[in-house]
Amino acid sequence: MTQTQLRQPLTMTATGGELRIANVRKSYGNSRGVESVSIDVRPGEFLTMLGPSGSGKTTTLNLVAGFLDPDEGSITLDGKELSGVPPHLRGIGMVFQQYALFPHMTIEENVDYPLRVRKIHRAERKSLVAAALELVQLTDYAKRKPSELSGGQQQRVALARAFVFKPRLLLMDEPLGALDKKLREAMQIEITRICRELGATVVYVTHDQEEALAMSDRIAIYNAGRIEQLGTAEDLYKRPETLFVADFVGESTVIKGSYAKGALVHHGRSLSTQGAHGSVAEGSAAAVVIRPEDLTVVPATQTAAIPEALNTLEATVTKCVYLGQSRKCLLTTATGLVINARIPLHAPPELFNPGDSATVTWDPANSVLVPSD
Amino acid sequence: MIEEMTPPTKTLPAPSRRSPSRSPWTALIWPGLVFMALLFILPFIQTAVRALTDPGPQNFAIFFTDPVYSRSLITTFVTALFVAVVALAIAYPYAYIMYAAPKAMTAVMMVLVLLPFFTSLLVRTYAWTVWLQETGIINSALLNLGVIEEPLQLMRNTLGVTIGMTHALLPFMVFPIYSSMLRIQPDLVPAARTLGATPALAFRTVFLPLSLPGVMSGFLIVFVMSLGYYVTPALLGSPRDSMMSELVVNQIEQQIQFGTGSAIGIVLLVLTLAILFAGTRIISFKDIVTGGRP
Ligand SMILES: Nc1ncnc2c1ncn2[C@@H]1O[C@H](COP(=O)(O)OP(=O)(O)O)[C@@H](O)[C@H]1O
Ligand SMILES: [Mg+2]
Repeated sequence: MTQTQLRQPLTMTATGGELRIANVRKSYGNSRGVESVSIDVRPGEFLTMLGPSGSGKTTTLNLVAGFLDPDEGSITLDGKELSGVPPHLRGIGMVFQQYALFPHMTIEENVDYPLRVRKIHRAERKSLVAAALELVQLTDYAKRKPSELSGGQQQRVALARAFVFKPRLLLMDEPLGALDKKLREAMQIEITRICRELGATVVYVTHDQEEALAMSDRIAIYNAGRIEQLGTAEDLYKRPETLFVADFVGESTVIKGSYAKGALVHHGRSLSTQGAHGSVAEGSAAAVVIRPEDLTVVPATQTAAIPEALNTLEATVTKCVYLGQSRKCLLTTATGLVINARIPLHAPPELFNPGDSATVTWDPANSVLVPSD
Repeated sequence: MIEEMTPPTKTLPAPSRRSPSRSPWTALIWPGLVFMALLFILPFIQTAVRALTDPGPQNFAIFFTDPVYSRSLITTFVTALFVAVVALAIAYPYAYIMYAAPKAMTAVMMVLVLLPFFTSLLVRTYAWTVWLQETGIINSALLNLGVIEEPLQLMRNTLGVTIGMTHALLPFMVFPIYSSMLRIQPDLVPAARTLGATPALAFRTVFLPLSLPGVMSGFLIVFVMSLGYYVTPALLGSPRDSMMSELVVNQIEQQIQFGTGSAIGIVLLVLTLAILFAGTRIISFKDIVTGGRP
């Protein structure tokens, strides 16, 4: 029952471990869990798994925590193979979406639980619990029961309980999913601060892209049991590698066609991809992705001033929403393509009323070329 | 005590936010209240009056003068305690398997435990005599196999009573425990595991304590219901070690002593209420009825 072999030196900051997930596959009967997932999480890194519901994020986390065994592939923590090691011997901290605090124990007893289980000396436990509660700023609540705390406070207790025993790795599965938006934003900052202070390696799961962008060092984009792309927020936004990532992260305009001789042919119209990020095979189905801030919208009457090197498309304004700093506008071309653009507030008024004709232009160097289906 | 009762419902409707007195549905409580008043409270008052006046309070003296009655008091409590303990020992693992098993298996186990409710208590009790009597199925089988030389005394004693009553009362133990297990948040045991607890330790420190309200309410319900059981002890029990309910019947049907019979009934009721009250020191009455809804 004691895990002396896993006991780490007890200082309040832990050095984060290195997690390697290599070609892991897991299915539930004939339903897909994850197919071939590989991620290397660096020591001390805050890595987020972002993706739609059912894409395999929780399955991956449960494989790492030891609640599931992979059908194939390997998971190692600091070079040690984890498969076959039961959850209680992995020394991995986990924060659950519904907090999972023990309702029959006080806050203090909850945080003390992993230390008590490890048969750590009483005096040492006391000081560790106190330090953990202080870090999550809940010292005054030590003697209360979880039901007497708000959702945000309960989640902080869950966090304290998950790191008090100095795990090499912290897993969090949509820990803020049950909180309202305002509290969620405050907790994002709080969790990031605590994890930085601890120096822990964190694998964080969310389906909220703003949350992922705000908190993470790197983000793994999940789709249908696979990782589509792994990179920094900027990588994913500026240099998406697949159509799914381009579509899922941030807003964009996606123009589909076939790629030939440095241009995308879209409904007979050749759009230059000169200098665009990404490459696809000659003659293959491809798409050009442009972020709203890289598009310029001008009235149909002012096209003469547009430089030759830029791409242009004629479109009709269908809808504009006032956003404060600019207007978010949707335009439609004759081919049915929907364009997502920002129009400055000082733009001529004939640009943002439904039915207005406009020309959309962009520099091909600011677009991204991705394979299409 | 009533012997047949529907099992405690697993889920009660959430309490209304509106003040109950203003809801039009409150009117629905009246038929129930009238029913209880006419068929329970009035007869109870009548019984109490009878115990004190027919011919007088000396009816109660029987407990001090005739050792049969004081012994019966002990027999009744020991048997009820025995039944509750045995039922708990069977019901907890049963409820846990029901909780952990796949859906189809849970449904089958649910029906099995409910079966006693679909058959008459009398029929069920006679069925037990077919199994337990000296020439019954168990004894014949063991004799034929040569395991025993003489038939075992399986009924007409506390063993028979315990077997019959445990079987009859098992649902009242299984359901509160099962429903209190269902209310345990499913993440708690996995959380304990990640925090370093072995499966056994996670069970002992997290799952078991959180299922205790169901255990306590099941135990109390079975114990209290056992105190008033009549048919099973009468058919499976020893004629020498009567339970109190048997003495009541004896006083009224054989001796035609309504006063003494009433006095025994009142003593049983008062002791039962005292136990229920003591029980509520540990667990609230609402929890006894609902199996510890948070
Ligand atoms: N216990 C299970 N039994 C069967 N299928 C499951 C189970 N858990 C998850 N799945 C399936 O595996 C896929 C991935 O689920 P999950 O990892 O929970 O996704 P996410 O956490 O990204 O929402 C889903 O298609 C889901 O239906
Ligand atoms: Mg999930």
